[in-house]
Amino acid sequence: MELTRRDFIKASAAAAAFAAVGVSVARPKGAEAAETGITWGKAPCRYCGVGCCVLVGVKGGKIVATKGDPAGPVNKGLNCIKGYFLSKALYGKGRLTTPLIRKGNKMVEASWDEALTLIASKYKEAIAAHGPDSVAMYGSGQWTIHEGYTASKLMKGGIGTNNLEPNARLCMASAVVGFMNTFGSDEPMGCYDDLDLGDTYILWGANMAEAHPVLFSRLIDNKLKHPGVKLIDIATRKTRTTKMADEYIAMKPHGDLAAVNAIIHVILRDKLYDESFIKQHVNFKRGKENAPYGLKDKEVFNETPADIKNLTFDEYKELMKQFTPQWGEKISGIPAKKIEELARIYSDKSRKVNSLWTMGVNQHARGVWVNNLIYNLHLLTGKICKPGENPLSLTGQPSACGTAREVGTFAHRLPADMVVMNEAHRKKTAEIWGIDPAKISAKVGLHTMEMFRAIDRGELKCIWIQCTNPFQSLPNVSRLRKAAEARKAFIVVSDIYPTKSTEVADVILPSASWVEKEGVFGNTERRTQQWFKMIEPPGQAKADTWQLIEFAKRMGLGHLFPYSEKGFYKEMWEEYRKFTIGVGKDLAPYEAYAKVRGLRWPVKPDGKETRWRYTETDDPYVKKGEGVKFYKAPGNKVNAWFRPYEPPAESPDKEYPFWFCTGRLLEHWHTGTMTGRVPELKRAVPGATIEMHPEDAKRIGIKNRDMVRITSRRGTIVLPAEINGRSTPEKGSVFTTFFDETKLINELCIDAFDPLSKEPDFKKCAVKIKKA
Amino acid sequence: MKLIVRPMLLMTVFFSLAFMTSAFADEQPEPDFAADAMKSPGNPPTIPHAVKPDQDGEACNTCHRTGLKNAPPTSHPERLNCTSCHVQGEVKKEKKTAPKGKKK
Repeated sequence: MELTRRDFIKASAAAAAFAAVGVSVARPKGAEAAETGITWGKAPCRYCGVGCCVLVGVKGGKIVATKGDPAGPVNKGLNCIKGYFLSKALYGKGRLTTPLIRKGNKMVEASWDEALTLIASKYKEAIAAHGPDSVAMYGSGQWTIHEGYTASKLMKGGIGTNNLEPNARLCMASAVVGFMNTFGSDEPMGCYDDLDLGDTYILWGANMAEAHPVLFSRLIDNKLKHPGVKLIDIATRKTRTTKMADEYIAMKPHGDLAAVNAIIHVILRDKLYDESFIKQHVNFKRGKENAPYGLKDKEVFNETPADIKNLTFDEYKELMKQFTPQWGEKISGIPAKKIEELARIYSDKSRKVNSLWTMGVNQHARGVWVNNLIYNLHLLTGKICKPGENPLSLTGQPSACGTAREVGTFAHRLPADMVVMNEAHRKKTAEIWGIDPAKISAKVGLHTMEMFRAIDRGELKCIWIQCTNPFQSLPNVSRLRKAAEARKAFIVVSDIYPTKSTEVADVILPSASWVEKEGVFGNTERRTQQWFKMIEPPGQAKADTWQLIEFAKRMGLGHLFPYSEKGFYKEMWEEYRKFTIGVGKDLAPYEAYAKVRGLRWPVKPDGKETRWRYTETDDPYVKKGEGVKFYKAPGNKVNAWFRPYEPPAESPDKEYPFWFCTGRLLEHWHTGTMTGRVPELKRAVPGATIEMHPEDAKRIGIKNRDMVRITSRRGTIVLPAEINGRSTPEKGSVFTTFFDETKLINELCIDAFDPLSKEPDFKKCAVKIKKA
Repeated sequence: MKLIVRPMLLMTVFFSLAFMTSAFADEQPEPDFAADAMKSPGNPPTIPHAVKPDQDGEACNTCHRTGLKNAPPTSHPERLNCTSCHVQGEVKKEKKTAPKGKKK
């Protein structure tokens, strides 16, 4: 602990000296004159999970400028191209401005009262006939904390069903389970400061240069200023990230599961571990194996306490003997020599090692296992909970952490790491909500994959979708679209533009977005950021909280939301905040957030934020002299899991010889409903392409820009080929993006999912390729 | 000595910002967002010419480092992920390089 503490004090003292000097920025001439009459406010960016701080300039009721906030600690004034054109996401063509109700094949304008009364009558009808578990709500990691909180209280505390899910199930669920079953509490111990303070960064299947560009800039800044900084890109395709990395290590799809096990094997074999750290902090466990892939409807798989076996360190070492570097090479494609090298890097005491990962690991048929294994690397080497030395799971939505995870808008969760299965948790929740504990169901609701399948099965009668586009973004989406088009359920969609999901809706509700309403987001590094309403939403568009509460009133549940009109956001915040106090997830009073560019929880009683959890240097829950204390884990000891290799759900074969992988690119975000309406971004990347390795293309006779037919067992699609373009997949694999609404890429994707997190694997299925 | 100063400087920027933003409301001064906006150098210009799909920062810098072929010289040649901030704008027609393959 000595070293950590000294580092911390040294850096803090230097910071104080620097703060006195201040930072000056050169201004272009004439800028001031152009900016008169503009009122400026602050907000976090609307798009990804990085949570860049943005300044918003308003004049005459319109946003006339947005700027990267120079006082923003996340991004220091920098944005990515999406952020620079942020306001255009609100001013695109075709904003929804009035409620619409389906009359046959037509959507007809309606008043809010008509629409909400219709929704309430459909929900009441379904509940009366089939019980509260026949209705559902599907929200988003783009929900503000208030929106998610309203939805959770309404569904779990009011209607009495846990059929509440966020689209974060598709991106963060594996990370959540990894945090919970390892550390006993969700969200990272480290923060973005680690990107500045470390010297070794190992990326596991993360194209940060495109998916987290501003964080990647921070990393590159560190690298430019410190020649010793090393960036190792372990991936299945060469990307812009690869270009800036010191080393690229090609890995087969699903290879991480074998590679990390083999690295751990070497660390154990050569005794490169930190024995005293392990003794003090780590328990070894073996979980349930031979897990299914979720391909059958209603398939149940759980890891109950009865399935979990305690291991001694020696037993664990014995079990890990099978995963030799040679075995690792065979499965992962990473040479055994490299595996040995990586083990030495991870355990090098002179290096501050960070692991970074995102969808490559999470959207994985064994995503939780890979999360567990990466934590094992850090736990065995003691490289955790130290400034500049941590594992960091990167998120993809602005409030996947703040809303989906912290408020707990999953089918099994309640606020602040609590779950519906636990009686004490239900009781505490009911107390804060002022309801009878019996009202909160102990039955876990339908997870996303089952929720939409239940529509097809005719079991789910009503679903309300807010702030997300599942009928484009879910895997094997054609099954789900067919079910919706057959009107198997009553579907409500609240959004700001027409999407592939409003297309199949029975009622479409126009929503307010971003600074058209007040809100709070929570980003990847536990930073909670607030903003005020700055402009009016267009037409009759309304905030999602307003929509839900007006619906609640029509359901006879208005009493759940007794907040005054003027004090609405603060009053609801202070109620929600009660969940967080004293449990290590402490949030600050509402006013505190108005003045600062966010605070990282747990916020201390003196108002200071926490950068590193579980350490005596920073975390208020760890007493002086305790060093590192995993106080959220039972017995203060975290779990290192034995997780063997199990194959992916579908692998290439003779008929479907290529791996198919999907993901993001820089210019567009999610299903492109916003970025696709920003002319600059649309012009830069108008549509999806299929990236191929040049040798594969040559062999099949495909030239750059040729139209190519890609076919999986579930669907087929034609895309232009992109060869030697921005990125190049490894031989035998192809890659495309999922933003293009004219190409439903997810019709091809397999709906296999992780057995523990129920997060689907968008990164791996088998396809065949033909020139179209 | 220099070797130490540079990393410390970088650390200090983030640490100072972190410290500046960490006290409860009553101890915090009212923020002046207009003043902060004034400190921003403004948004990056768009690129008025075609960009190759595999374009990287080194390629951009062959002209933009020094201002070759009338290219505006960059103030930050060390930032090599150019297209993460500069998006291609409308391509001027008179440029002889056809904007073929501008996509992606």
